[in-house]
Amino acid sequence: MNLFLKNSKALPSAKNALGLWWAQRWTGVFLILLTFFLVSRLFSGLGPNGLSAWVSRPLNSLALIFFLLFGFYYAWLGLQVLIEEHVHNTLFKYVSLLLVKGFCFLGAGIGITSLLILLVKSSAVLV
Amino acid sequence: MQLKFKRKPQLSEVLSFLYGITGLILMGGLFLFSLYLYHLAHPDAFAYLPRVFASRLGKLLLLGFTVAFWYHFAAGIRYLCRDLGMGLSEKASATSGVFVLFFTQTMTFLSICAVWASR
Repeated sequence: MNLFLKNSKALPSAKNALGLWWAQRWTGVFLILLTFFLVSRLFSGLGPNGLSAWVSRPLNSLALIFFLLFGFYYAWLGLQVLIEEHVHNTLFKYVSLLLVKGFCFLGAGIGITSLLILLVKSSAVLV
Repeated sequence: MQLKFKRKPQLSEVLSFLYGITGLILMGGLFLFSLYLYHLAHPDAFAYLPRVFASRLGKLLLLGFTVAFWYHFAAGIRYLCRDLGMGLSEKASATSGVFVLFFTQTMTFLSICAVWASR
């Protein structure tokens, strides 16, 4: 277990601490803007064909892709900091860091591939 | 014998705890949103999701996400201000902390009104 403790740089957020700190702030700010943008679009432009039609509009799907990317990246960074601060059992800490990373990649992957599939489906209808 | 000190929880630590919890809740919401997009792309998968969100429990869940969002939003801006060196004094911290809670309550109420009006 001491193998991990010897080098504090082993913690993910110690490698590029300032960069990750800034990334957390910027993605946070962009997430606020994207959320307001998407919710306002949802309120004004939800047509009779429902959510799948709304999602496949180019501007919406582009915003949604950025929303998912930033959202899961922000969640990953935030949870990483939370775990490093509060989880003191080394094994549990590294396992949970790995699980969080996997969860975020899975979530972003599912969402973005689904959005791309919906885009291809809607453009196939147009052609 | 183990000594236990009982003390009143301070506002700042409660707010910090809530910030983490609401972050986790919003992360779960984002994952649920991803699953919903998967359902839209493949209608057979997770076919129960629209029914879940139409139900009373689903609406309560959405209300929870709304509260979590407004809290995380307000508290996040409070922490951003701190990063910039604003509002660090004890008095300013207490004032902004109470304001965050008040803001969450108000914006949640306004959000409910907005959804109600748009139906």
